[in-house]
Amino acid sequence: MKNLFKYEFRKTLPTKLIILGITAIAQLVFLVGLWQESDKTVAIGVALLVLIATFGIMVIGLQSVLTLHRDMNTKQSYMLFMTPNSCYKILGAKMLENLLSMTIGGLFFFGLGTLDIALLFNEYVRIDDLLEGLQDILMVFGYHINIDAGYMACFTFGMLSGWFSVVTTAFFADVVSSALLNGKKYNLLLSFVFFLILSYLVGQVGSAIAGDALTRTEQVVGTTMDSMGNVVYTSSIETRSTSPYYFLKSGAVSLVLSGLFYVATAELMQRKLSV
Amino acid sequence: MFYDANSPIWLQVADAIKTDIVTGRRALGDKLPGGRDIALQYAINPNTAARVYKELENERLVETRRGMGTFVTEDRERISALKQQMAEKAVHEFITKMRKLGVSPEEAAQMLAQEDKNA
Amino acid sequence: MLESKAVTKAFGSKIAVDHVDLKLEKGHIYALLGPNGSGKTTWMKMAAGLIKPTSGRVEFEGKPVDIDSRRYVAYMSTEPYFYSWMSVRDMGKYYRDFFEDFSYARYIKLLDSMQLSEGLKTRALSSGMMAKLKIAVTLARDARVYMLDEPFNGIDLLARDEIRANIIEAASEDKLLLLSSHLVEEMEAIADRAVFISEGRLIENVDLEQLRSERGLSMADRYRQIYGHAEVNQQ
Repeated sequence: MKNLFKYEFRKTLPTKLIILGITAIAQLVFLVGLWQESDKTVAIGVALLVLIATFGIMVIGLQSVLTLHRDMNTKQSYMLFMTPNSCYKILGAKMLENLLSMTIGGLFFFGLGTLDIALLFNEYVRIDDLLEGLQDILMVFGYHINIDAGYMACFTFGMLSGWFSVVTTAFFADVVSSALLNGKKYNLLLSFVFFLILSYLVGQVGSAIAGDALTRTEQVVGTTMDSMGNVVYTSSIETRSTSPYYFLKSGAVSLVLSGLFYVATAELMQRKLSV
Repeated sequence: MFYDANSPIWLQVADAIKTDIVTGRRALGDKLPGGRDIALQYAINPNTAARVYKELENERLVETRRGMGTFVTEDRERISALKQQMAEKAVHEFITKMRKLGVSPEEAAQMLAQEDKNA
Repeated sequence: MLESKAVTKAFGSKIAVDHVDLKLEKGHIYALLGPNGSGKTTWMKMAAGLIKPTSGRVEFEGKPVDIDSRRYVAYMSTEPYFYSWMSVRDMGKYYRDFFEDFSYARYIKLLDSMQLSEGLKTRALSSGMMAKLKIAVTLARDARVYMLDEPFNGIDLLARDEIRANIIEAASEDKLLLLSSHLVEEMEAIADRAVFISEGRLIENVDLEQLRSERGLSMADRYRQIYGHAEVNQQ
């Protein structure tokens, strides 16, 4: 398993290095902007960083799927399938590599982002203050998120699991199309279409089980009464918040779905695949 | 070595080794290469190589000593008998070929003498 | 050692292998012969556990071929299959990582004999060199069964002689070697048995020396008899 993992990592290394390279350049632009006190440069740097952070994680996920596709549809499949490893192990190594990469990637960008925000405010910012700042930003978007360690943990768990289940869905879609249309030219395109359909269905199932992301609570702030003491007007504030339980639930659902897809994919590989 | 693929290969390799023995290229008592080495030398299947030695041993031209290998016989008489045998076979083949061409043995003998004079 | 029992493989409506009962014994080098599309490669892949039969099964040492048999059965495909980002050295390390029976020392010897250098990148190899590399990684393993699919294809004369020598060296009483090639004459002397396949069906499994002594036929001539309509030039 260790060996399988080693080679999966090597397959994805060039892309990761490119992402790292672009990040370094973006970060450099940002730092130069700060040093030169040029707002425009800083803005460019920030824009680049946000861009690379968003796309970076997506690319890592995508590459895992493309690698799997290549490993199953070209002659390179011999490399994996002539070794005495079960499909479960082969697939498991790929998924593990992907999960680890996305987690580390996610943490890396999160850390970099935090660091850069701190630099931006150009003062010694305590993590608490920083998080409050983040909270304020998010409030603007209508998300009242209570930022504390436990909450963040649930949030991270939910997000990562979600991403992971997207990847496992893609793996499954790809293996299905590869098994059915072995060698045919539009294999990859069909696999993508199938993936979209599957993702939609999964999304439906997921939200049915996990429930709504936002819970609305109404808080009565003040009442206006008439001379008789009847309540004439009630003013309240509606807050929308996302409970940490939502992330736990959706994360758990994602993991279960991922597990199911993993088993289904591995079984399909084992039974149907012709090298 | 070039083979006639329509005839048993072990026979052809055995003949080649017999010729070596008669000409002295593989001298009396010489150690012969191991089975695998003979296979490599003549580019043949190892089982075929084993068969070669087995047949040569049946004809008492070589002998296998346990743990030491296979050796050419030290029996001079056996070797001269082999020489005689192989020469007779060559003659027989020659005569047969000549007959096929319509050349009588007497004519063939004359041609031989002529050839010898010219050589 | 390797036995296929009523093995059939169908790809949709096309039947590639048709109820083949074949028993291959260790200690021999078999030539697997037949025209293109006769099912040789498909049969070999089933024996190697790379394809699952539609019906019937292949047994290795009495047990059905499975993932575990890959540890003892070495299959070399006709096409090159290396990761393009690897070097010749990396390929050796890959094999060493996944196959317990792989000997890196033997790999180096094989590379030397075919004049391949370790530092070359696989994407820089000519087709001839890729063919040699396949042979090197496969024969550097100490497998119980070697199945080589077209080992002489695209290889120059001198390297073919080397490969022939390497095949002879790899053979032993405990091992089974199966060679599939269109270059029938190349295998005449090194194979001792021949299996003829046609349209997915087994035609014949013969001992070659017997074929020569009893019928005066070479493997190539027998091939022509089975598959061709031409007159065979018999002496």
